[in-house]
Amino acid sequence: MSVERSSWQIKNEATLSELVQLMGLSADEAAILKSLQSAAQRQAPAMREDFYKRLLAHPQTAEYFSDINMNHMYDMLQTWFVELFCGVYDEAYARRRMKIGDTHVRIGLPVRYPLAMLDVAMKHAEDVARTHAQSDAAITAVRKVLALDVAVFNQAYEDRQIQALAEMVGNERLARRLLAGE
Amino acid sequence: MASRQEQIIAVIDQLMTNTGTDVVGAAAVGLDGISFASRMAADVSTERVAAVAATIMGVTRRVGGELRIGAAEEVIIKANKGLFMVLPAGDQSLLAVNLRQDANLGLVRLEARDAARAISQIV
Ligand code: HEM
Repeated sequence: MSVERSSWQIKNEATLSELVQLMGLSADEAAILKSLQSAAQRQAPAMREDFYKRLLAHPQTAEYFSDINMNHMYDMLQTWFVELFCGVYDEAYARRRMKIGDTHVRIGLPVRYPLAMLDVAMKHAEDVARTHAQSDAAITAVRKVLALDVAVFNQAYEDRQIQALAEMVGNERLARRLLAGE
Repeated sequence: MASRQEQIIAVIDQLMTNTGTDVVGAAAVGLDGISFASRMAADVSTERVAAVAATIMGVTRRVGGELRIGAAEEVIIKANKGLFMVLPAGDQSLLAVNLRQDANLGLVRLEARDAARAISQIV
């Protein structure tokens, strides 16, 4: 891994525009998603219900909520879900989504939990997409924005690891090489 | 005109000559842990030693910063079968030196400092 990769230079908000380009998320798809926003609003409480039922039934995930105001959590999760359908996937969107990733890094949550929980979000997002006249196109679009969220969530974790190690060893490229197990 | 790598090897060779058999290996390394040039025993991975040397120096600089004791000048690790020394060679590189256990540390430190200065002028 002694070669410098151009992907290492893409950071923060720029990662989302890069991924939008990589995945070919088109203006038509963004418009389809936007047209589904009120359907998403209606679906959000059911999604939130399934989401927390699962998280709170599992002791290792439930313990993160022992002293948390759950009503606030419900609101934030529903807002997150509805925002998937906001139709504008720009830098401001990227910043909001990354900040959510950062929050989970900060509370010491292993990344497997949020990634696994995207399964619940996926089911409900596809239910929303099926209400669209062009349901196949809507499902394709919704899968793309959820994949973006998976990527951004994961990136928040990786960024934190690289940053912490780079601070310790004084050099980002060295940190990347150490993490690659060279 | 010798290449940069050849010039660094010449500095390392000089260091090894000036210190008798005390220095058993040495490498000039970038802050990213990549070796520019080295003389290491065949059973030692230069790549790994280079990464480790850069890590040690990075952590040492961090300690220097936290404790406000100034810039790191050298790090010496003494193990029961040998010593390992890392020192800055200018702002962008390091010199890592592997020593025999009973090496004359006083002499090696002086010679290594000269070698590091010479390397900093080459890189
Ligand atoms: C698809 C997965 C997930 C999504 C979309 C999600 C969404 C969110 C959002 C939007 C916030 C508010 C973020 C902020 O204010 O910056 C949040 C906070 C939080 N999440 Fe999640 N979450 C997910 C998975 C999880 C999991 C698996 C756990 C625990 C097992 C968890 C625990 C928490 C906690 C404890 C907070 C509050 C942190 C604090 O403010 O101290 N989340 N989540």
